[in-house]
Amino acid sequence: MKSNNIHQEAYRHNLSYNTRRHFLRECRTGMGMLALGSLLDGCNFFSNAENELLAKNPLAAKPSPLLGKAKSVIFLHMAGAPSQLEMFDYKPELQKMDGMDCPDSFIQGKKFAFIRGVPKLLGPQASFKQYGESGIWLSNHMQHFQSVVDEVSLLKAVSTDQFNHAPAQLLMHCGTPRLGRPSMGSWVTYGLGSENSNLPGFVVLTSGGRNPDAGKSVWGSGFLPSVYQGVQCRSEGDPVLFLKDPNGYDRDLRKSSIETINKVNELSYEEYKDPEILSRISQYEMAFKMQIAVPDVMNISDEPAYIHELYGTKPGKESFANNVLLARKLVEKGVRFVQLFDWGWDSHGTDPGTALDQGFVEKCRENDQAVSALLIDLKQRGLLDETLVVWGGEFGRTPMQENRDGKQNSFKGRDHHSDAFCMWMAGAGIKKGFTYGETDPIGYNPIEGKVTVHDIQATILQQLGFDHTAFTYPFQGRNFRLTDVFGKVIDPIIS
Amino acid sequence: MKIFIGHLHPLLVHLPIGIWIIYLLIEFLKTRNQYKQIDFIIKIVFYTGAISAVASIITGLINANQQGYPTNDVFNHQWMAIGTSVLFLIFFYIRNHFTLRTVLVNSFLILLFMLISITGHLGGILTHGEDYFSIQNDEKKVIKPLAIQHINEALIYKDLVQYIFDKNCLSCHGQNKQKGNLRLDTYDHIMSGGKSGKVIQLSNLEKSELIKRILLDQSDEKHMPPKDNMQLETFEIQMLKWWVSNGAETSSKVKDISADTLMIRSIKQFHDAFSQINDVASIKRPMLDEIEANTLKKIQSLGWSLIPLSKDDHYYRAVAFNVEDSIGNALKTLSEISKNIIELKLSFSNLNDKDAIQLSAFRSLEKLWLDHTLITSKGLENLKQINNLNYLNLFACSINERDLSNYSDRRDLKLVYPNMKDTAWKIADTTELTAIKKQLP
Ligand code: HEC
Repeated sequence: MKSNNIHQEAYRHNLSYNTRRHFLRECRTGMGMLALGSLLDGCNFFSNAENELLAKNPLAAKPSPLLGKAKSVIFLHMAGAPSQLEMFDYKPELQKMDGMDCPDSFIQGKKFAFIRGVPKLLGPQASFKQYGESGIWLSNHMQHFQSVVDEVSLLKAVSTDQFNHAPAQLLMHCGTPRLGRPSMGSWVTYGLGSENSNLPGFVVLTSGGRNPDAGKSVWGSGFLPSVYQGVQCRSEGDPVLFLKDPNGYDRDLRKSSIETINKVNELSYEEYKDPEILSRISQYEMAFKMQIAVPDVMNISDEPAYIHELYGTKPGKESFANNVLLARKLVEKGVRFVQLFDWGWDSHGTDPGTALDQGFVEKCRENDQAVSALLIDLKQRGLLDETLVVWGGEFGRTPMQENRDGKQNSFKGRDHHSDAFCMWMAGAGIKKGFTYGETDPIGYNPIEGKVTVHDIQATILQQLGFDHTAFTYPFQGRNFRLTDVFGKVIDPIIS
Repeated sequence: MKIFIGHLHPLLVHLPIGIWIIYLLIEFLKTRNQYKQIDFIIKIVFYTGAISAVASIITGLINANQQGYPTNDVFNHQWMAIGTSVLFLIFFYIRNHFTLRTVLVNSFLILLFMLISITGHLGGILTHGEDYFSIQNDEKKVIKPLAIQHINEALIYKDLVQYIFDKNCLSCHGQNKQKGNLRLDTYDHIMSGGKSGKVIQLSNLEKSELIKRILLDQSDEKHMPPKDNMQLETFEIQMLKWWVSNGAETSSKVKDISADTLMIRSIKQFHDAFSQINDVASIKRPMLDEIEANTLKKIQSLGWSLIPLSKDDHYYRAVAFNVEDSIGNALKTLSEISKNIIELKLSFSNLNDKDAIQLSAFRSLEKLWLDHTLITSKGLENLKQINNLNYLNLFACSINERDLSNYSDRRDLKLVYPNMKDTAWKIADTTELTAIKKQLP
C-alpha cells in the first residue's frame, strides 16, 4: 500500500488495530453496563424498608424537612386575570387622567396582547374605601371581603414575565412558561404525601365553563411519578369519571374481584420482588376505598343551611361557590393541595360579559361572597391556622382601555398586563391585615415591594416546610426545582 | 470628586507593582551577556512605573482617611509604599551613573522585589482583611460549631445572637476593624452603635439601623453584610429580628420563648446548621428512643398515618382518617407509643365517650383534634391529666361553652369549639348569620 504522506500512513496503521474484536468488546461491556444499571435499579437493588413502604403507598404522609405552618393549600386561581384596578389597587390619579392618551414612555418598547397604537387611560370603574383595622383599600365590588380583610396579606406589586394566558398560567403553577414541568400541587404531594389515603392528595376543581387555557398541564405531574398529578373532580354528576361501578356490578363483587387480583399480584411479588407490583396492589385498594370516600366528600347537599347561605352555594350546580365549599370540605378531610380555576376574568371589553361594568361586576360578586365565606369558615373550624389560602390571577390588566387593533373596544375593558398585579395570601403563618408592595400613581409599574411569581412559589413552599432551593427532583441528569433558579421568600408577609 | 479620585487607588496600585517587577526582571537579564541589547527599553519601563507609582501614592493618600481603615495598618502601608518608591529611584540613579558588581545588583534586585511585594500585601490586608491571604483560611471557612450542650439551655443573646455576629460581622466590625465605627463584638459595643448613632432601638425593628441594613436588598450598597461576604440565612435574620423586637435583652433562654413557632423553627434550623452535637431533640421536649420497626408497622397497619414531626426526634403526629377498625381499639394500640405522640388528629372518627377513656394515656399530647366526633363533656374528663395540651379542636361536637368552663383558667390552651351555640347546625336565617360573623374573632 502506498501512502501519500506520513500522517495518512499513521492513521491507517492505527485503524488496523481496531479489529472486529474491539467492536465486540465494546458491545459486550457497554451494553452489559447499561443493562446492569437498569436491572439493579429496577429490582430496587438499593432498597430499604422505607422504599418498600413508599412503593406500597406513594402518597403516605411524610414529614416536611423544616417545621412548616401549613398542612394544606387552597389555591384560588382566577383564570383570565382579574383587574386589580377594580378590586384592590386604588388609583385616584388614574381617575383624573381618564380618557387621556397614554404617555409614550409607558408603551414604548412594550408588547401587548391586543393594544395597538396609542391607547387611552381608563380610570377605575369602581369606588374605593378603606376597610378593617388594617385600612386596606377595597372596591365596592368586594362587599363581603370587607369583613375578612384583616385576615389577609395583600401583595400589590406582583409581576410576571408572560402576557398570554397559557404561558402565564404555566409559569404560575409549574415555575416555567413551557410545558413539561410538574405543577406546584404535584411537588407538594410528592414532598409531603397525604394524611388521608382514601382521597387523592391533589384535587383540582374548575368552574366558569372552561378549563384554564394552559389545559391540564397546570396540574400535571411533569417528570414526577404520575400518582402526584392533580385529580380533576367535577362538582356536577360523578365527581371523578369512571370511578363508579358499572350497573349491575355490586360492591361485594367488586371487592372479591379486587381481592383475587391482589392475591395473584402478591404471588408474583413473592417471585420477583418488584416494588411496582406492591404499588399496583395498593392502588387497587386505594381505588376501591375512593369509590366510597370521594362521592361522600364531594357531596355538599348535607351541609347545613347556614353554610349554603354563607357561601352562596346551590347544590347540584357547577359553580365557583360550590367549588370553594368543596375545597373546605376536602382540606378538612386531609387533602393536601386543592387547586381551583375559575374561568371568566378576561375583561377585554369586547362584549358585555367581559365589560368591566357588566360581566366583571357579576364575577366579582360571586367570587367575593364565596371567598370571604371560605376564610370565615376555615377560621371557625380552626383550619385557617394550618391552611394556606392563595388568591390571584396569572397576570393583571392595563391602566389603559383596550383598543383592539387600534380601535376603541365597544365596552370598557383592559388588556393583559404583566408588570404589576395583586394577589393575596391568608392563613398558616401569613401576616394578618397587611399590605406589601406599591405601584406608581397609575398602577403600571411596581415602585416598591415588587415580588415575582417565583417568590410566591418560594413562599408557599416555605410555609409548607420546604426550602425551595433544596427541594429538588433529579431528572435528565440534573436536579430540578419548582422555582428553577429564581425565587426569594417574601419575608415581610410572614408573621 | 475627592472621593472618586480616592477610589481610583485600588485600581492604580497594580500598575507600579506590575511595571516595576518587569523593570527588576530586565535589570536582572541585563547582567547576562546575551541580553545586553535589552538596554534600550529599560528607561521607558522604569519611567512608566515611576509615574504610576506617583499617581498611586497621591490617590492613596487621598483615600487613606475616607475609608475608616485602622490607622495602624494604613500607616504601615503608606510609608512602605513611599519608602519603596524612593529606594527604586535611588537604585535606578546609581545603576545609571556607576558600575556595580553583578552580585551587588542582584541582591538589590531581590531586596526591591521583596519590598514591593510586602507593600502590595499590606494594601491587600486593608481591602480584603487580615485572613484573606492565609493558608488556614480554607479551614477557617468551616465555621466553629456552636458550643452549647443543650439548645434549651442556651442564652438567646450570648449563645445565639452573638454567635451570628461573630460569624458574619466581626471581620469588619470587631476589635481589629471598625467599619462605620461600629463594633459588634460585645453587648456594650453593639448598644453604643456606630457613626450614625445607635444601631439598635429596643423593640423597634423599623428604627433599628442594624435590622434595616440586613433586610435591604443584596444589591443595595448599604446592605449588610456587603455582597460577596458570607450572607445571613433567613433563619438568622429571623432570630435577630426576634431578639431586637423582644427588647434585645441578655438574660432569657431558648426554653423561655413563648410558643412562637417561627422563632422556634429558626432556632432549630440554626441549631441543625451549626451544632455538631447530635441531640436534635426537639426544642422543649426530652429525648426519646427510636420506636421499634415492628411496633410502627403494627400501628400503621391499623390505618394510622404516623408522621414524624422532625428528623430524628421520634415525636409523631398521628392521624386517624384511614383507621377502619373501631377507634377505641386503634387508640389502645397507639397508646403503646403514647409518649411519642404530640399531635393526635381524630377528626371525623366515630369516637364516643367510651373510646375517649383511651385518651388519658396520651400524656405528651400538645394538640388534639376531636372535631366531628361523638364526644361529650363526659369524655372530655379524660383529658384532665394532659398538662401540655395547648390546642383542642371540638368543632361540630355536642359540646357547649358551659362544658368547657373547666378550661377557662387554661389561658395557654387554644380552644376551637362550636361557638354558634347548640343550634348552630340548624341556623337558617340571615340575621343570625350576621351575628355569627360578628362573633368570629
Ligand atoms: C466586608 C466588611 C463588612 C462586613 C462583613 C459587615 N459590614 Fe457592616 N459595614 C461595613 C462598612 C464598610 C460600613 C460603613 C459603610 C456604610 O455605612 O455602608 C458598615 C456599616 C454598618 C452599619 C452602620 C453603622 C453606622 O452607624 O453607620 C451597620 C449597622 C452594620 N454595618 C452592620 C453590620 C452587620 C450586622 C454585619 C453582619 C451581619 C455587618 N455589618 C458585616 C462593612 C462590613
